[in-house]
Formats: sequence, C-alpha cells, structure tokens
Amino acid sequence: MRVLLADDQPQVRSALRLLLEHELKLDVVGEVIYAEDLVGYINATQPNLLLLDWELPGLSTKEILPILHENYPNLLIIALSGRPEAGPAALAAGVDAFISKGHPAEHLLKKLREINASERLLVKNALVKDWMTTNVIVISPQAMSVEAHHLMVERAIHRLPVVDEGQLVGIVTFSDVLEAKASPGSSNNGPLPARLPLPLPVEQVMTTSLKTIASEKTVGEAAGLMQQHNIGGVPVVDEHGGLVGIITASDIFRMVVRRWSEGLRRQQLTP
Amino acid sequence: MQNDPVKKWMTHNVITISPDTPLPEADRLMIGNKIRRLPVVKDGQLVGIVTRNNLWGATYADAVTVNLYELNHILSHSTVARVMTLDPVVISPETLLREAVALMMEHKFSGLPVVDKSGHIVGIITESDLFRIMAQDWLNQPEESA
Repeated sequence: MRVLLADDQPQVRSALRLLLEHELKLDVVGEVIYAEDLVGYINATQPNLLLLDWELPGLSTKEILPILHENYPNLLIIALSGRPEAGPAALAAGVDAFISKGHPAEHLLKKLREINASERLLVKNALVKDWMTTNVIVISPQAMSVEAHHLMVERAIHRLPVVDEGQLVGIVTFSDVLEAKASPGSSNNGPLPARLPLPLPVEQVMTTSLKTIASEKTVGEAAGLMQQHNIGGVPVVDEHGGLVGIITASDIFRMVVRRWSEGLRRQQLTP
Repeated sequence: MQNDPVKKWMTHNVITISPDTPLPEADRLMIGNKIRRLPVVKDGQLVGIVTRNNLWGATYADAVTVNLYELNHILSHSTVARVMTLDPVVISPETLLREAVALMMEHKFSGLPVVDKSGHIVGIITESDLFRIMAQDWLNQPEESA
C-alpha cells in the first residue's frame, strides 16, 4: 500500500513514517506540508492512502474533499486531528476514517491493520463463480492421449476436465498423458525421448477421484483446496454436478496481484 | 508482501541447465523436479530460459512432419540451445515483488529468474510459489467477517 503523508509538523510526519514503514511495512511515497501541494503530490505519487492532517495550513476541507473524491475515487483518506471534536465533521465531509492525534498510536495502527485485512478478505471472500474461467476446454474420455497432449500444448494449459455426455468424469493433466503408468524397465526409461503421449485413451490415464468446488464457494476455499491437495486447478460444478467452469491457482494469483495495483476504496471486486 | 524485495520470497536453490544438454535430459529434469522452466546457464552466466512448452512445442512441430524413428533421432541430437528463449527478462534481488509480478503479468510469464549484478543467477520467482505463499497466508488467517 502506498501512503502519502500530509502534515505540517515535521515530528508528526517522521513519527508516522516510522510507524507505517516499520510496523506495517507500508510504502510512504511522499510528504506534503502545504494544502496547495496536495493534488500535485497525489498526481505524482499515486498513493492508495492519504493521511491528512485536518488542520493542514491552507486546507479548505469543503473544497478539497469533493475534488479528491471526484478525481481519485479509489483513494482512501484518513483524517488526523489534534481536536477530537473535529471527528463528526470530517466523517461528514467524506473521509474514510478519523483518528485523533491525542489517542495512542495503537488506534491508527489498528485502523490500518483493519484496512489491510479487509483488502485480503476482499479477494479471499470473492465468489468462485465470479472469477472462474467459463469457456472450459474439455476432452472426451474416448479421445487418445495424443489429442489431449496436443490440445494442452496448443492452448498452453496444464489440465483438461474430462466430460462424457455432459457429466464431469475426470481430469487429465499434462504429466498424466506422458508419464501414464509406463511399466518400469520399459523403453521409457531409456536415453531417448520416448516420453511421447502413450497410445492410450484419456479414460485410462485420467484421474477420476477428482476435487471439485461449487460455484457459490469462495476463492479462499478454492485456494485452500488446491493448497491442501497440491493441485493447480479445480473444476467448478453447479448443484447438479455439471461442469460450469474451472478456477486455477494462476487465476487467483492474478486476482491478488491486480488488487495490489488498484485502489483500496472500491469495496466491490469486479472481475 | 507486495513491497518486499524479491529476495525475501524467491527460491534460492535454482536448478539450471547447460545449453548443450540434450532435450530428453532437459525434459527428465523438469519432470523429476516437477518444474516447468529451467534457466539456461553457460560459464556462470544466464543465457536463456527453457520451458516445458518450448520443449513440447518443438517436439510436436517435429512429430507432425516426421515418423517416430526420425523424431527420436532428431530429439536426441537436439539440445536446449535450439529451443530456449534467448536473453530472458530478469530481475534483481532488490526488485520489489509488486514490480516483479507486474512484469510477469505484462509479459505473461509465470516465472522470472533473479540475477545479481554480475549476471549470476541467484534465485527464481514463480507464480506457483507465490500462490502457495498467499494461500498459506489465507489458511493461517483466523476467520474474520468481511
């Protein structure tokens, strides 16, 4: 998270910087002393979070907040003030939180930890159905391993759900079609390639005891399932057991990473 | 996590391969170690990267034009140098994780070699490693409500 500090007192800025960088490992991307520099600094540093001294010299909160909301809808703003009574007005003006400077630093830390946690929850609690891949490339159990192999190389994917008459009956991975139950001592152990797809139908090399997840479950649950069983992707099924999608470790990784580069204010995670 | 330097999360013991390695051996090395990419190192310097898709893309292209015997011959006489990607995108150990993943997204790479100033490979960072770290973090987190 990138944080911009706006406070005219050097000792407050250095205390905040210490707290943010050392306690929370956040990035302090700049320090603003005068209200008129605020917008310029935000443009230049693209913070996710602004810690704004409510008594910043020159600050007309009635003017600046609408500008910030308009131009930086994803910027999270926390107002800091030496006057606890300023709280209600600050919140009414549209800041996301108000912290009194008279309170111990723990208050600010707690608030920031909450923000960090809700960030993580946003991805963790997102629903599988909103993030899965729906155009799943599947294969029939009667297809030959070489076809499965070809399809995976061509589409640069690592696994294919196996579907028979609309029913999900198994999953076949890249290594299944190649390593497929070659008998020890066969030519597959020789010095030559020989690890060509075996001349077997997919149904003889696929995994049938497969893990699936319901589309209404969360991304966190899907990640847990993959982690526990050391698998890279899980087919998503509807209430009748029909295949509706697939969610992979790579999909989830991308979601998390996208959140890193986006703002924090947006509460809805949009696919 | 996103503001940590890559060195905190990278895999340090990188399995590498020489450009002169025959393809079947590269293939076995990947299978044996359950990995999909190998940095290619010559005289201590990183010169390329070879992925399972490079390998199988090559074998497949060959397989459709020649018979199995010829294919065996071609493959066992081909080396990693023939299929590797030259001058791969690299990062330094000090690169921030979020910069590294931005690069991975931009180029659609699922892993990046980490090299020091003298061009020696010191680590590798992959999508699946990072996923494991994140998922573990989620599993360890106490259940909270949104």
